[in-house]
Amino acid sequence: MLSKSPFDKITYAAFLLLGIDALLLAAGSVTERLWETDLYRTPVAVALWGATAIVALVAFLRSAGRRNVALTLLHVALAAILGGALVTHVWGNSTTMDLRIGEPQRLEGTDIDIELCDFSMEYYPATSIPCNFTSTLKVTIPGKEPQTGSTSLNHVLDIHGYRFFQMGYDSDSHGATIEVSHDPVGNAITMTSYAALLLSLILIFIPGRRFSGKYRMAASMIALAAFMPVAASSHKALPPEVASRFGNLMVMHNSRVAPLSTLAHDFTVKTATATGESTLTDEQVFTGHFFYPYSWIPDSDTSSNPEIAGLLAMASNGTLWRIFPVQRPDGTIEWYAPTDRLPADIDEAHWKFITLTPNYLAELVAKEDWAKVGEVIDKIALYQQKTAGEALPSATSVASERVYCRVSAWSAPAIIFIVCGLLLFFMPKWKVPAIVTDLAGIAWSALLITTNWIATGQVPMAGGHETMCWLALLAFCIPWALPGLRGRVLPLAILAGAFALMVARMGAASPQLTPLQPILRSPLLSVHVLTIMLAYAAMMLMMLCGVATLAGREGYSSISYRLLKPAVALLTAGIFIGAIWADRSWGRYWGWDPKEVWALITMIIYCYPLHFRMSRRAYALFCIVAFLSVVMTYFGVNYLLGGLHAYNR
Amino acid sequence: MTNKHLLLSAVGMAMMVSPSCSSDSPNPDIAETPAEKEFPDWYYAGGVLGTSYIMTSAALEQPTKAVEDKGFLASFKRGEQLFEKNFVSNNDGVRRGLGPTYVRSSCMHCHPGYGHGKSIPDGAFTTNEPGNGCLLVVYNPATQGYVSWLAGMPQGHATDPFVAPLDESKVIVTWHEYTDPWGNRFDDGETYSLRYPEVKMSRNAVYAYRQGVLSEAEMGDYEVRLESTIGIYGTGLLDAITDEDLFEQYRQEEADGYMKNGLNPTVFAGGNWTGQYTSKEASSDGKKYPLRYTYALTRGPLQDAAGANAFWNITNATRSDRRYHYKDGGGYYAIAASKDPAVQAGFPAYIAGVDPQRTHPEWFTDNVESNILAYLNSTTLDAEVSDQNYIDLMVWHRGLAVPAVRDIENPKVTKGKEIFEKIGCAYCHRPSWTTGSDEVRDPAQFFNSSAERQLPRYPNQKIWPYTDMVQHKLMMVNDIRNGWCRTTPLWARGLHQLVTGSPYIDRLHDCRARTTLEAIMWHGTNQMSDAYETVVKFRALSKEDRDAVITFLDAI
Repeated sequence: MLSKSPFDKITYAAFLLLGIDALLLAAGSVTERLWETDLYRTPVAVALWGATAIVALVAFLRSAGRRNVALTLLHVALAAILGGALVTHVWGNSTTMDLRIGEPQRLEGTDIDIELCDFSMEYYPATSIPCNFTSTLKVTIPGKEPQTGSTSLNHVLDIHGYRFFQMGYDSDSHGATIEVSHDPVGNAITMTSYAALLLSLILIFIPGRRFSGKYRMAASMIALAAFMPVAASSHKALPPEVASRFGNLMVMHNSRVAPLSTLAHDFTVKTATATGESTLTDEQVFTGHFFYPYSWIPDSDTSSNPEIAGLLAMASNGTLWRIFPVQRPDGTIEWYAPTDRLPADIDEAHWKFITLTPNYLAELVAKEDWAKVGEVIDKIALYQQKTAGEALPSATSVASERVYCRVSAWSAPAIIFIVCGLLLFFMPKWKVPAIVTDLAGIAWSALLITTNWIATGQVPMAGGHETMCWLALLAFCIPWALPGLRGRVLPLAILAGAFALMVARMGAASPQLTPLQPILRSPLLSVHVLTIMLAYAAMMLMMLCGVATLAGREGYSSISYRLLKPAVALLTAGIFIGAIWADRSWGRYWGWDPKEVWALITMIIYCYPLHFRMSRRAYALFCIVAFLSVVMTYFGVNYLLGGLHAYNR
Repeated sequence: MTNKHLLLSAVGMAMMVSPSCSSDSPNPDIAETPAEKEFPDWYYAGGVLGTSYIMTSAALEQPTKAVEDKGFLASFKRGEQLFEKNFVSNNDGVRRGLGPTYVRSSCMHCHPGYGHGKSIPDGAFTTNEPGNGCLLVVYNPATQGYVSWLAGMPQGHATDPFVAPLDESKVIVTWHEYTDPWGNRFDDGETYSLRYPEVKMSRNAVYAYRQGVLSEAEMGDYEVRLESTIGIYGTGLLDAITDEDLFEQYRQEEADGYMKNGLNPTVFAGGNWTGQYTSKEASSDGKKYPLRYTYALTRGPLQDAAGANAFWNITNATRSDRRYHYKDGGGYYAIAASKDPAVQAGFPAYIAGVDPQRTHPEWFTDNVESNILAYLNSTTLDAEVSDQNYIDLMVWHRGLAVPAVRDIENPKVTKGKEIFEKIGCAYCHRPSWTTGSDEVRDPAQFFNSSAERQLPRYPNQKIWPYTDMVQHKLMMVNDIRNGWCRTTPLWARGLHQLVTGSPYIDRLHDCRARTTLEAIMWHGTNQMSDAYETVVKFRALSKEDRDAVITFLDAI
């Protein structure tokens, strides 16, 4: 427990106000959903937040905490964040404009002219499903040189502090809906305050206090869902051994030549929710879409995610099947799908092979002549070998890739590590099992990293889930860097590593198959998810400790107290990292999304025991009840309130 | 085993690339299948010689077995390029000769994925992007005939210095909601919505009118309709149906008398043909052939039908058997262009490029106006498309296969087929025909029997196009010109969205039906429709049975 501030009236007032804020937030998330009433921005709400900030800052500055630099920075940063919000609220502007090409419009309340010069749509190949749209805007500010720039999905355009964000488009592709926000001061204050806040959190933990990690309920629920058995497949597919032979062919995938099994794997995990398929192999799912598309037509509601809908269409219409290398006159190799328009100067024998083979295969598949299908697959492999021999990946890297594909999809190891970590946390005497588990964690994360490394020939650092594998490795290694503390740190390190693996697994569940949503692959997102999950895990442990305490067991209250500060710190950091990410991708740092609101409510709730002493039983009860806010944030919001974070609905 | 030789060629191919690498021994994992799977004959939509199997977005682009068997592949490949790629206004090089006026710059513009055109949105009629397969049908409502002041397929483009005969930006398409007599609702509560296009074209859209060459009185009243392209695949198979079988179909339908609108009296009456096709080209054989192609049944044998014609008139690239430009019948455009000072200014440079040797002195006199007129009305133009190009195009055209039926093992498909036949759809959408000996005939006599002008043939094939090849009336609001429309083949229409990426299934002649259900219901919006009673029966079906019919239609 950190602050031992005197129980003066001002502190009480500050926390009374904060409590009212939390209630207002909770009410706001419900009214917004049910009646579309925005409580968040009412004058009452603004006044409440203002009062809270002032009273809380005064209370803090009167307390002993002011002597601690880190704590002072923390509280000032929090107040400054609210100050920044006020500036945004009062002086920041956000307007939605419906622009048509070549018809400049004046930005409301300014003398700035905005013109849509060009609008372009990109579609998933051979579909009418848009995957991205880009507006080129010309912005004329009096006294300044007109500037031109582009904004696309998740890519904010910033011109002289005016930020343009792509919202929608007109059906004739001649107009776009653009959100324009202008909030240079509020944004600057807020971002600086976030930096200060994160710095203060780091400072607080520098003088060796232990970190804690665990969470999982959330994660294990996800894992459970992944394991959920589904009845025998209703989809038509090739026999597994035939499908598996397709997996050995090479294909151009993510700008590199990879075994088709990798593409099949990436495709299958990414579309698993939409297809509801879990009994067939990856290769069966992928080839099934190609040879029996009518059997895989998705339900209309699963196509609400345009990326998935596009992907499903691309697997059936053949555009993902870039399995035919063609040597170009300049010596380079280009890979073609059976549906691509082949270059006019292509060698006639090659043209014949590429044009006729897919239809022939389809005929053999229709007739279920599997022996001949196998022969044709071999012919394609031979063709690939002859045409692109040197450009094909080595046998080692293919083998490595198949291993990586398989192991990175397993969620069991992460779950096992979580269970072990929890067990070891409550069994501090089990030294050897702890060491063995940790070494297993090191081996497992190292395997993921090295197989991926060999497969791609690149240090696997690009994607969020790859970063998470490194983080897991790091977490598992930490106890070995702290010999004195190893015993106590081991269970926490195992839990931290396990959760990093879990997040990596979630990232691997959405591999990049399409050019969409680069922002979703941002490492910032992985960090955002990980910190928040660590916080929730700590809060869950605190809840369990609470149950143990109420059941009369000794020692759990102090464990719970030890977790409190890191939990709140991680949650706070996680929320504001999310805000930075949102600022970069959506052009605004806070959007009153229900998930954001409820995370903030959770943070406020968990601040109380940091500031007020409670009896052991009261604290235990608190930990149990407060955990409901975590449950609400993690699950309730998606099911009850919806919003931007409900990706999987 | 229909493709044994292909396998061999595949093997040969692989071997040719390199004789080494013999590690690909047959995989013992794969058990020998004792027998090939058996399918009912209606699975093979294009018969043994004309069916393809792949279901990708290239499903309608496959060559038939006849193309492969008879060694037409190289020609087919070249024909494919001619179909897919843009023509250009250059005076030399490949695919030259676009213009002076043209409808589209490539065939592919109107046949996305080789299939039916896509529906077009509200607003100005634009043809710059591929996908809009609609032609504007401009006709006189009193006579129901095409107007003489635009080409039958109005040309919205021109190469410099010419001006497009039709300014497409002044042609406005508006979609209207429509409620049928049943309130767009089935008795069990299922609802649907219907929409239809209306096209408005201002007189100012017409160049000759703007130039003062064409008067309002000469233009008279006119109306505009949309007519979408249909797919090219399988047209070679339809050409192989015998004249006798076509005659028998008409005779039988007339004798049955089921159609309340009867048969089109300008085609068949009193047990005999009243209208047949005769080529109007100089090379015509003068013979009469039963009509079989286009909604309006304006064409006979395929070799002188829509595709052979479009290859010349869409791009206006001349060839040896068509040494004149496609233009309006009244000749208004040529006069307007010849009097246009801007065209006159650019013409000398233009014509010097077209005819650098000055082999046509009538284009180089001192009178530019008469030069222009002489050029536009010339019947002795040099061929821009080679005979070989034309042969290749027609090999490809006649060589496109029809996809096999999809999902045939689904009991819903079989059930839908039974209901389709039971409630009477199959009377006009006649499921199957058997082709004759398929001696390729060309009323314009380009495709004579010479060795180098051979085309793929489909003798004695049982094919499943689901059309009687006869015109009927649906009596829809804003119906097709004169109301008579040939029953469109239904084969492979279910693949439309897969091959084009269209958001809708785009059925019916102007793509008004967004779903198959809408297409069915448009057959029954008027009690005078020939299909009205069948739609009444369709309405009486349970939801499950109606869905089965739709599943079947999308599968064939």
